[in-house]
Amino acid sequence: MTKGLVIHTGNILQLPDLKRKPGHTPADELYDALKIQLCKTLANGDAEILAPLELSSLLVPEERTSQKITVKLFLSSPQPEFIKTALTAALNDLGSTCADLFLISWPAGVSKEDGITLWNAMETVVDQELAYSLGISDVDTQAFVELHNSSRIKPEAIQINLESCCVVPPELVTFTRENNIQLLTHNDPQNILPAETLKTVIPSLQEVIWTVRYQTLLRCRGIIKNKGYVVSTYTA
Amino acid sequence: MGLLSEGSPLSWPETKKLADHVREHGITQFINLYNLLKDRQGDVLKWGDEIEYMLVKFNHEEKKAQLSLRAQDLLPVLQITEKENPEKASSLWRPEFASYMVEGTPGKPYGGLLAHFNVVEANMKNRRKEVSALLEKDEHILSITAFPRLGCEGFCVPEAKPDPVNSASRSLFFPDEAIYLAHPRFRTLTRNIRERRGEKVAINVPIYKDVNTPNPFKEDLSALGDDGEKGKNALPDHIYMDAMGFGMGQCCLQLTFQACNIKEARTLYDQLAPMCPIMLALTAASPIQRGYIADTDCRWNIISSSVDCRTREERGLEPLKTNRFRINKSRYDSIDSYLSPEGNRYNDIPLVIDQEAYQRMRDAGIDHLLAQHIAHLFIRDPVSLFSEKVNQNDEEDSDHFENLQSTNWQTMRFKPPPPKSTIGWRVEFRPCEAQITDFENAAYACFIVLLTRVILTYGLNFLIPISKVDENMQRAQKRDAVLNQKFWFRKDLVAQNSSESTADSVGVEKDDVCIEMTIGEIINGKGDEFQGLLPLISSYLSSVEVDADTHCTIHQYLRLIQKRASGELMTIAHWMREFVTKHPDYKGDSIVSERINYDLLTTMDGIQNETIECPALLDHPRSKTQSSIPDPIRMAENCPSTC
Repeated sequence: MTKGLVIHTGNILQLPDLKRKPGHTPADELYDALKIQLCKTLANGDAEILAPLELSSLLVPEERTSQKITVKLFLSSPQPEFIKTALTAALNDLGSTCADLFLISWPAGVSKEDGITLWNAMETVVDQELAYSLGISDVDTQAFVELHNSSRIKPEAIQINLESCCVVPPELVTFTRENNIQLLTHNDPQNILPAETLKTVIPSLQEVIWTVRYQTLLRCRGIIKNKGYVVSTYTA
Repeated sequence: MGLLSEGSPLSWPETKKLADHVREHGITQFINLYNLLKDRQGDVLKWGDEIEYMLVKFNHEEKKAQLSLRAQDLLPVLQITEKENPEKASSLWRPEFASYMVEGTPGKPYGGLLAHFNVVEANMKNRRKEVSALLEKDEHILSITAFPRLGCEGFCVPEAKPDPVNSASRSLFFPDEAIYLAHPRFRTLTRNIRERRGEKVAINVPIYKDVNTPNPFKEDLSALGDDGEKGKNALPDHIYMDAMGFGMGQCCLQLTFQACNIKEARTLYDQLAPMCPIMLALTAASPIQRGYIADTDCRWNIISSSVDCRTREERGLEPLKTNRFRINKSRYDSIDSYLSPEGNRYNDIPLVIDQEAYQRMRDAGIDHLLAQHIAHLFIRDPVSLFSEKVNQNDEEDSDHFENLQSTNWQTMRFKPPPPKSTIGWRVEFRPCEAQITDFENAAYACFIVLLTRVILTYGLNFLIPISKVDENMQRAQKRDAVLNQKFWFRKDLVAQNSSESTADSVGVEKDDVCIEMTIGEIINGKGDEFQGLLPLISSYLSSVEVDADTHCTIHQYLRLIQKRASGELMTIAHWMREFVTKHPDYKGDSIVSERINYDLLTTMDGIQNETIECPALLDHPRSKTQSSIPDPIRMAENCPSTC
């Protein structure tokens, strides 16, 4: 018998321990934030663990226009039905109705058909005004070009994992330049929260379904105001 | 060098008579500005760098490198675009103290996008190109902090003889021709500072004692016109200098950024103050003075002495009779007080203030910390005043305020918005020495601005007692401070203090807020004890969208900082020392000969224009800097083009 459990980290910029131990990968950062959040014993039967009040990510309404909201989704398997759920969960934490940029970390080895269904679900959240623009990460150049050419709502940003090197495929550089696409970098692992890792914190965990990260940036000031994760899991 | 008022300069006795007038109206002007602008909100990040350059002429036949006194020929041409078509000017040019110097800034400030970090170096390169296009054969523009043989015989072209009897500085070494004379300000400052002080300035830098350096080291200056009186302040075992030009004739890299409001400006002023000595040590680039290897690496104390206008009474050498105060520091020195409520408890050095000015500001509703800061700046006399500017409309002008503000040359400067402008509250970061290449200058500039974003994002706290910052300033200038010195730094950047308590009430606790660390530990971290500034910056960068080219460029900049801090790469000062001491002409006597100077400067020029690789200094930099921000980034960030 499994049941769903959704965990909200809240605004991890407010966690002193993470500021004292920065420079980790996003995976370490998420793991540390969850550990801190879950150190209180799990009450049996909880379906949702909310962030404590002092870590609230809620934007004051007048702050909304001065902040850029970016949401990035990590799916454990290419299941389009979770796209809207995950985005909404992130937006709810922020108290906002729409993300400026909604990125999806493209699941490894996704088939062409599954890819089309996934992107259709991404387009739907734009139709529903839950996101202004879409982006994608960790997709190879050819697949990206195909997706761009065949999609109704085009990705406006592609994120590539550069680690410490500066080599970008030249075809991708040309394509993004010709099509006015933002060529961005990230350092997220494909699997940002392996189930085995989370099991060390929640022994009853069976599966991670999706992870979503949000961050808000004060426009033209380069100051990050919020950064948090929402994780959806199955537990025994 | 701040604001340049045009007009006819007054003599020192005339200026002195008007000192109270300038101070009184300066305070009125500040109060007016403050009341008008204290509630100004919502300014975005805009920032700019400011680099001073030297014009160097190479004589390849005679193997000589000399400073070329041609700034007054170049500046009118460099300023044409700005005058005729200001929107199109990609750089702005200003005169500086010396006639071999020009100061360049970007035509418009950079904005608050991450992508702006990728246009800085391109802008600097373009600046160099603009000047280079106007230069004569064998004339080059170099962004070096100190010209090694400044003040040696024949150091400039056209050659000029110092006049110790009639010149503005009365120097045995530095001729008036090397001062920028096309604007009266610089010569006037030189003369007024000397006259106010009551004697010419005295700069003594410890000499680097090598195997063949005379012991004690004492120069015979009689051939230069020393009659026993003119060189009397020369100390044994020191390199003696005696003119404002030895300090203000050195170059540096400065940064100014706009805060969103006055509160954020005060926070950044305070938070960056402890970074000043760290950045001074990391950018150290002036180990050679007047043809000798010094035992120090930085320009700071030299400039400080070069404009020290305090009288003997003010310096505490004679009882106070005609002067108002004993003054602890030169008007060019590290800051003496923090401005934010959080900083108040760390204000632990005595602050001399103009009590009357302080009271007037308090009565006008200005808080204690800001009022005491301004009242401290206002203990000084104006040292340059123009007859056309004596009478002003205090509702609209701010020249009298700026007169004193801009001649208090401290490590940080807190800048109110100019009257009737779109500019907000700003903070200036002033300790860095100029580096050889645009790559390095851009790297240090971006590092500091990124650090401000990290401080504001994570709400970090760098504050330590200001007396400890002063200690650090002295350590920073020591030879190879990056390798050999430890610096006071706050040990927990995360813990906040309550803001109410004052320095008196927390005497015990404040002693252990900081620990001593090497620059490598401060920048790169120290195990579990200290997280390091670069890891914080990396963590910040992984939380913002960065385009691929900017990412690559920033990554290379941060790697330079990381390796300079760890000692893996040399500071410029270390590299220069090594170059000289390994030169076949060097005789182990601390002397940098004309030939060594020539080879050193041609090498620096080669490193700058990338014909010479210098991995010991730079690794192999390949930034992806570009002249403008890619359109999709600009559009996505929804920033106006000026942002």
